[in-house]
Amino acid sequence: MEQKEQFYYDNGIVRLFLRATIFWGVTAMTIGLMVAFLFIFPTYMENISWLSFGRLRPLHTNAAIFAFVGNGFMLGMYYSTQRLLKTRMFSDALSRINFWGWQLVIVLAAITLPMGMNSSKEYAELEWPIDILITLVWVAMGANLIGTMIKRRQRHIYVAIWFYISTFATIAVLHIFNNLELPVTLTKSYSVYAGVQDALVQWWYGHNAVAFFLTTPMLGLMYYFVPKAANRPVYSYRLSIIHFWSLIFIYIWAGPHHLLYTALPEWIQNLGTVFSVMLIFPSWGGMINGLLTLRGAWDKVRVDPVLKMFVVAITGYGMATFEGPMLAFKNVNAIAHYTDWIIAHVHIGTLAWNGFIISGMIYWLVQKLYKTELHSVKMANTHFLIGTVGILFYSIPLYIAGFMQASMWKEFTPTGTLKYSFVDTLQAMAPMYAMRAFGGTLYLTGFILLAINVYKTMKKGSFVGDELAEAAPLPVVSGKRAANEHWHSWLERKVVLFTILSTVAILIGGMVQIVPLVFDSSQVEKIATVKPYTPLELEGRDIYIREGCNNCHSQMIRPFRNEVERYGEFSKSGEFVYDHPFLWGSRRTGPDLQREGAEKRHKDNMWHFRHLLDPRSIETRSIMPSYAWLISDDLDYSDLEAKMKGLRKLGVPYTDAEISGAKTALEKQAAGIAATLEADSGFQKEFVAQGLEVKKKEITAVIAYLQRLGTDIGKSK
Amino acid sequence: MLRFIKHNFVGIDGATFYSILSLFIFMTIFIIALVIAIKTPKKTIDAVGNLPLENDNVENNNNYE
Ligand code: HEC
Repeated sequence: MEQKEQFYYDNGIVRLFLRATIFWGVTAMTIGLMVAFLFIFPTYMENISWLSFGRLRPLHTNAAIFAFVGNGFMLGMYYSTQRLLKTRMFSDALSRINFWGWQLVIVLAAITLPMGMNSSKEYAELEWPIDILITLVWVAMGANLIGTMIKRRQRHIYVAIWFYISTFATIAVLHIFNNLELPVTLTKSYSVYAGVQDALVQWWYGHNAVAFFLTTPMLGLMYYFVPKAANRPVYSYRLSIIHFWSLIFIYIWAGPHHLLYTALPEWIQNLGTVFSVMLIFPSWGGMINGLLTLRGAWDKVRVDPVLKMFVVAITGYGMATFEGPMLAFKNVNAIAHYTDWIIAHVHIGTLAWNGFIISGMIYWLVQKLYKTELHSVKMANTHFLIGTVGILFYSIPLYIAGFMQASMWKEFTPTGTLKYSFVDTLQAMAPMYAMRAFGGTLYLTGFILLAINVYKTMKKGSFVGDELAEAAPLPVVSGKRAANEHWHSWLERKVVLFTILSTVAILIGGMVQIVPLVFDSSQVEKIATVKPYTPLELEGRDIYIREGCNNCHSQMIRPFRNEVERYGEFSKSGEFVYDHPFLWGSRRTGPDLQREGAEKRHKDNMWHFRHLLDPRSIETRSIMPSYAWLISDDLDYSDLEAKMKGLRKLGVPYTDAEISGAKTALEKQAAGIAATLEADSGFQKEFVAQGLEVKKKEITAVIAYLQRLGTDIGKSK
Repeated sequence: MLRFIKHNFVGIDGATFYSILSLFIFMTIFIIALVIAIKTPKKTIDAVGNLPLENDNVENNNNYE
């Protein structure tokens, strides 16, 4: 028998993450609910710019993903890694840097996103200084994790740790590549990619962020905490190894399914579909493995809220991963894309799978950390019950809404005109949105019960910050393969290296898929009449990004009869070559705006002015926020030259003369728009007489941008 | 439907090469991993699979289990 060493597990760091997870969970869900209510009562936070939909929605998604799920992952990771590797974390300092750094990122996000500082790229909205901070914190976490693996007292590395490591490595690479942007000021940057390229990189990121931030870390937690709570080993460990490898490979390859029917080369789209369908196999392998771990423990499942939550979580994982590949079929995607179906899909993933695995884990952990039993099992069971009902109330109405939207959008009358206006379809959704908000309320209530329960449990228990444990140290073996050693046990010893190297290899594999398009701009056919934005339009576009209009409006018309009928000529990839970043959007809460300035959609400046001031004055059923501050706030174009110079570096052909004359050109164009408005006698009475100098206001820039949209290709005719 | 926008893309040089290359990377590593998973002896598999269930602390002052 070897001499055992005594050491202490760091429970302090686990407790920090525990508190943070609960706090941010409540926050993220509350913001989600605020957003959900905007769909029913669009004016209840009217005229508070930082609480308008376009700014809150990114805050909600970022809070749910990075604050709630992110802290939840780190919570379980710090607890299980130490136990699985039989050692304290590599460095207490790195653990704290990880914790406080991550909280700082979240707080900065919570301040800057409502202020409108964002890069517009979904789930990567944060501006460049915060991106750099994220990178540093993430690397601290990774170094800590790898350091712990190196000083471990356990030869074998359990599969949960593999999932953690691949989470670390992949997210690092994804984050860096998707956020390559050229800073203009401290709070403003432009994506180095344009149009189609930018979309491709964004969804390569977006898809893999779902894979490696919302799936692999949760699977790691599943593989540790489900056996722990059920007190039996995972059903098949061999299957878990296969699950791991096939999952990470196939995921990387499925990204382009977010861009079906867009102006993306067909072979990439097809490849995305094939891999997406293949994804079912590893995902279901994992789900079955998780569920079967509970075989023979079903009597326990009936009474234990922890296990119940795990069952619903894993089932949710199975549902979402069945649905995902289905959505990657082009004909299904044609229906679901841009609709609420997608919102339902992602909430099965977040509420059921992520939310319940984290909640179950919290109930289990708090008892371990505080050496006591749960304050109230009944309360936890209530949480389980209303949480589950909440998920159903959330998702089912939105699935229905998705189908309704898709079918109403494309319904024609016998005479060949579109049957419903966009707002007709919006109005039909109202009951669904009400039910969704109800479901969300239930879910949040359940989670608040968790917070109370955990707090009470903490109160009655006694926390052990440093928990004594003992284990024999690993005998020192040379890195080389010993004479009598079998090759695969040698390889297994090298598992850290192997995991990191192969994750990187996979990433390269995935990148290779998009490289031809990203770095070879000759593939996007140039359209001679497509020109860079004028200075005023550019400022307008930046306001569009600031306000997050792209959270409700797409700018990508698919080549379907109904879309062409409704919005005009379908989108061409060559139209987006100067779009840093791209603004295709992903959800049509409002109509597509890509041809807002062109024939079919064109409206005069006065219409836009009144509509932005109060959408309901034009369309009573509208749920678009009113943007009164665009009319009261002066346009700040002090960074105009820096912006244009920056864009020129990225390939937008602004001439020296255009840049030096930019401010004059901007003022001239603004004055032109102002003149058209002021020609109206009603406008004179209502605004000019009140002292409004409209040419100086932000709204002129937004109008200029909207009027420009989609007009370039018409000029070639 | 893609025929509507296909004209935007002149033939992609190396597209086939790139896709085959990355598929190749994918297959190789995957097969290695698969072989390892299958060839690892049952004894090791069981030992590793049971890791989460090992005793967590010496004091055993944990009254939940
Ligand atoms: C909450 C979602 C939402 C946000 C955010 C939003 N819109 Fe809208 N928008 C709508 C809806 C719904 C409609 C359709 C009803 C209407 O005309 O008001 C609409 C309509 C429009 C239209 C008229 C489209 C047409 O051709 O009928 C324009 C232009 C427009 N929005 C511009 C903007 C701009 C610019 C922003 C950002 C400053 C913005 N929207 C933000 C939901 C939104």
